[in-house]
Amino acid sequence: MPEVRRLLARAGVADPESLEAYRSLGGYAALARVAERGPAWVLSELEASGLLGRGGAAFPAGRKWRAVAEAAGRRRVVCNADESEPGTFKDRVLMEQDPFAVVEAMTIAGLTVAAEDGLVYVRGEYRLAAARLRRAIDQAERAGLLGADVAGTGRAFWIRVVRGAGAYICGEETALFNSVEGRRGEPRNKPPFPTQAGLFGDPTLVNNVETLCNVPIVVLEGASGFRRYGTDRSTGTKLFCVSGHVERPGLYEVPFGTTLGELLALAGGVWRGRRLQAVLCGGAAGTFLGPDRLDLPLTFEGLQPVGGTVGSGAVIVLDETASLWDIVLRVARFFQEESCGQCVPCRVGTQRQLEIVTRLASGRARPEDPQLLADIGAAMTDASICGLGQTAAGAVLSALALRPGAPSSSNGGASAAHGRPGEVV
Amino acid sequence: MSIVIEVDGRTLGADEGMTILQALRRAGMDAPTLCYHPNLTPVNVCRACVVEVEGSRALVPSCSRRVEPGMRVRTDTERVRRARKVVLEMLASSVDTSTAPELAAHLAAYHGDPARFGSDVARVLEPLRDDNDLYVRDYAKCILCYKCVEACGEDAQHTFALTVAGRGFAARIDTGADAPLLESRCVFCGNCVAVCPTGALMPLIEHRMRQAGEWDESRQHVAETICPYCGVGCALELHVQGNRIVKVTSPADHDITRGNLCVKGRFGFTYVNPDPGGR
Amino acid sequence: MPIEPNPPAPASEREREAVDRALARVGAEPRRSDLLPLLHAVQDDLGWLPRGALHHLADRMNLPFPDVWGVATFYALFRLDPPRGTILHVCDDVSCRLRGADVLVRDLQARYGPPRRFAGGAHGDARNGRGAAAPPAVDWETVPCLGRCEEAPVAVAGGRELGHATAGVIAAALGQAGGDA
Repeated sequence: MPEVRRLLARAGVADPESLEAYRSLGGYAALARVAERGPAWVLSELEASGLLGRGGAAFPAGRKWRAVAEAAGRRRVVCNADESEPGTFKDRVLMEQDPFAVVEAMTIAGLTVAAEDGLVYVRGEYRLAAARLRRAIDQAERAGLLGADVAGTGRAFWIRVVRGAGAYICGEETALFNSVEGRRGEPRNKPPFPTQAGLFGDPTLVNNVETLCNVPIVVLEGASGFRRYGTDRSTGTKLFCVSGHVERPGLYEVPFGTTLGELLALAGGVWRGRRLQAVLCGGAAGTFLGPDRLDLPLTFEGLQPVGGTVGSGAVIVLDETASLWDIVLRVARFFQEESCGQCVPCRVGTQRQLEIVTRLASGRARPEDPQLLADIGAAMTDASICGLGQTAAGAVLSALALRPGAPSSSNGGASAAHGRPGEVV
Repeated sequence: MSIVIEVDGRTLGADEGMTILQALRRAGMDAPTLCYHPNLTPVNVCRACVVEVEGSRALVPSCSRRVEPGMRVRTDTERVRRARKVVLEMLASSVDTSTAPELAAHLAAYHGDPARFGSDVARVLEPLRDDNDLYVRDYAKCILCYKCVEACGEDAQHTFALTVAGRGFAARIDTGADAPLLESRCVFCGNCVAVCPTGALMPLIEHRMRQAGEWDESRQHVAETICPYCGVGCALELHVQGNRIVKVTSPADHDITRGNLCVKGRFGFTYVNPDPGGR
Repeated sequence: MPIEPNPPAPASEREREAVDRALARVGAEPRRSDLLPLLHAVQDDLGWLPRGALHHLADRMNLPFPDVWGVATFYALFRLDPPRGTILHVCDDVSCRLRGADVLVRDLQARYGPPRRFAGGAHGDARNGRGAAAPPAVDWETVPCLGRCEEAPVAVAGGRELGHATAGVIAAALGQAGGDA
């Protein structure tokens, strides 16, 4: 299936610091239509579009928007731009290359759910993205597309940018709220859900950058136009961040349903003519898939049966020479470092998991280690407060499933010299 | 009893606003808890009390989840038992549990084996903080249940001398840049000590007696009285061993104190003892 | 492990000014939700977050110092000890590793000594393992994924983002950053 450019239509084409450039390429046509058709129409199109959240949890966007639109009291719109999933860079590209699209989409959200307060929480490391967003907001305000009277609708909507400060956990929406409120970024207990009580206790619509950027497309093309791409249950296109051992690492937009093999082919295939060992699909919170999965369609429904996940859209490719356990060890260390420490299964579980994977990766595995990893994984998955702990064992356990035998130093352990051929599938 | 829920196939009545744990306990059932305290806002961080609730993908903390009509709860499944057991093992493998009877009891009940993670695993290593005349802080025993932070802050004392600092396995209870207590905001009410479930916070007298091998709860009796210091009239429980008061607490279920005291009530008792000069 | 005595640190003149400047930009009454932007602003000004500055900030915001400390220690980008040179962040996460970050880290280690690493340490610099100081003055650490994996391996040297980073590319950027400082 070919690459398409819908979300990326303007990326690299339009000057990201020019409102005029954005408008000349169709920007703000969607807001005009929203102003004309009204919130009820937007909600029904969004629901009919089948758009699912692109931040990892795949929640139906229309349902979320309606819940906030129907909530009582002051409402808020938050754009979750705390992109920190290892191997993921799609939101950065969208914000850096097409910041007005994020601003326009948020404005549509504000008008639709009747919120006046919008906020973008941008990952602390993304300085350029934050600067471009601020510039776009400033220009939109001066053009009357944001502020006290949005595009002549008589409705107010403001956006401010808040920078994170280096904490993966703040991509979890309730941790994000705490962070914005000036607290430690520890997740809150759910329920209540953000649509009921979110930022500052108000009903809050939280969407990922990529999810929001789909909204103007739904508005302009209608639900049926949006559904021209993708499958019945995974509608539209998806940004995949392909990295690692491919010829052309980069961001690729393809319709849902494109197979893993087709995506890898777009990225030039495994580099240096080597064979594929595995793909880490979904980033650190994702799972390893073997080369037997190349025919798998990349959809929410297609990946689920094999324990996979679209997740953030990270697709990290390992060639035959890569040390799988070295990579698993890095994933385990990531979670150990990023656990907020609030709940026991994640705080201690990520630590114990790291210790055991360290043993495995250095060829010092004990016979009981696979069972220990399974037990720790079950406790983290079942009993952690938030998605971080609940996904912290996924990659490790999937690697274990791919290579049931514990590695020794000669077959892919981290102590193997760099570049030395590992186990070949 | 306005709500009916089902727990392990049994039908239970519960009041609206009740948590699953409260409904369980009222029906004579239970779940292990460590971070839960009836007088504090549930933080649901220890995850020992998790249960299965039909329709929820992950397990649910019974201490904070409120009952809903028709809720179907399972407390005895393999999944629940496994999660609880591993959580208890994780805690016991990382901290000194020598003065944490609740944790030890739960661990035994779930046949937990903390040693199975290995003998060389990371533990919470912190020096004893013995920096004032009233209580010691031994964070090597701390399970980060947040009770002290809550009792010091919004749930009781409103002093806000404590926080959690750092994150992950390195997160610790902190006075702010690890300030010694006398240089911190602490007012020495000891309400944090009263709610600590592991003995990480301990009155200095108890700590010294334990070190000397003199602390013996089987030889202690509790005398109830009213605090003599002011007109509030807080209820006191004087823990007496060998004709000496060795500790003062207040009943957690007392309408007025809810277990809380001030520095005088909790620590100002040594003048009563035969050797008032000693600490 | 001995306990480092750690009394409330008085803010230096420079620290007070940095905090007051940041607060002036917020305007009116600072709210707790201004804390993250304020910490960023103070750090941008001073290069790190000295205890004295945090105490002064807490006082001015009418927040308990422990609350401010709890927040400052939670986030990896906030520095609680003074930088020892130009700051260098090198990604050693999965995608960069597959593209040679492990070799890069080894090369950098040979040049600049062992990296430090955000350890989530609760009590600040007293517990943060640090390598020996090395000339040229570079304060470097390995960090999780920086979200530029299409250019792996990546680094940020003195605020400059570097794709396809090598020790040479980094040294050149550090030379410039050092010159600018």
